[in-house]
Amino acid sequence: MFRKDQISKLTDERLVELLSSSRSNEALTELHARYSNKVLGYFVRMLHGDLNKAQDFVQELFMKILEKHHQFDLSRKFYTWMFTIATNMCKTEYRSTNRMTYSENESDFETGADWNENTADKDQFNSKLKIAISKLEEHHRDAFVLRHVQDLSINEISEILNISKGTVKSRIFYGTKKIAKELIEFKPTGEGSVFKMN
Amino acid sequence: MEREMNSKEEQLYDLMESKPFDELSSDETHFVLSQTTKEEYIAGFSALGSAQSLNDGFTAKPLVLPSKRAVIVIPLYQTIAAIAAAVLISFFVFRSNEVIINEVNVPSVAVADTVFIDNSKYDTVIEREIQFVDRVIYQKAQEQIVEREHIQTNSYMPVPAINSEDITSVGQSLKNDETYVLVQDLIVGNESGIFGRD
Repeated sequence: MFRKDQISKLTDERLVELLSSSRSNEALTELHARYSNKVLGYFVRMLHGDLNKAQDFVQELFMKILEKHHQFDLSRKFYTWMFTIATNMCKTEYRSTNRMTYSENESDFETGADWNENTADKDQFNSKLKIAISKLEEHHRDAFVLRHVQDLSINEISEILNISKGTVKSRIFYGTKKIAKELIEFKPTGEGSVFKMN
Repeated sequence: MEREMNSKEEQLYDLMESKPFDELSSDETHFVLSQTTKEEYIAGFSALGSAQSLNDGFTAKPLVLPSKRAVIVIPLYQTIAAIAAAVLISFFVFRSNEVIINEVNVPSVAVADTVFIDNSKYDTVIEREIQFVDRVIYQKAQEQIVEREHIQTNSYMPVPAINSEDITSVGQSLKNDETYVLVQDLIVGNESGIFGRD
């Protein structure tokens, strides 16, 4: 058996194996500690900034992991399997609500502000970026968030979404172009750093 | 069917993901401007560079674990001891008890239709108290000879062996006695079996 400090040293895949044992709670708690914040960010982006719903989704996701851990293929990485479940949960949610509104700090950003002026800062840009991501079509948003928010590789996204790598890149590219069109009116600087801060 | 990226779009995406506009070479700048505008490239580059920061600052709620059912683990040796004790107790409690099977409501079957009982009639019964002891005497002769010894007791006289002469009537029948007429109310049977005063 493992001591508590040893649990934290185990790989994700070994922890999934432990979900079948009497130490399932400890293993699940450790997986939650490793990935809950990351997957919460994914859910927030995918659920149009609804933080409360995203929190519920995180809880539900880990319950699904506990229930379905026997379906996990040990040759895969745990977090790609976890994101597969997460994307399916979002698809189910889209089908049931078909909601496209954005609730996260939308009013904070003043459209038409000059990016190079002192009032334009990183927070404002990020607020607009969140809105732009939220306006993407579901399949573009999914690929974009997984690649550039969650920092997963093209191969991993291909595995998670069960599509070809070419399709993944295509979705990310067209998603990026749509986001750029949304942001272009704020004239971000083209200098070496993304933002020109005060 | 989703539209796949062509090679130029793929090259543009790769540049947008890796280089700001002012770091592009002259050839790359010429290529980028042939595909999109400077503002759109800068906006796209800024979006890709900032997207990962959107995942910062999220803290998931603590995991609510499902309540486990109380599992009572009984050691193997206790199980074996309990079974052995049960067998032992059963042996002492039930060993003297025989299994009694009573058939109830069994129809009775008559084994005989009609039974005739003959009343035995005895003419004359002579009762004598005869007490003797048989003793087997083994002699050395090849034949075994059983000798019956009559042992005389204090209160009884020795009697000879019973034979047919002993039980022969020696008296005179009353019907042959001429004097029977003197006896009042005496009825005597005649030859035909009819008794009475003639």
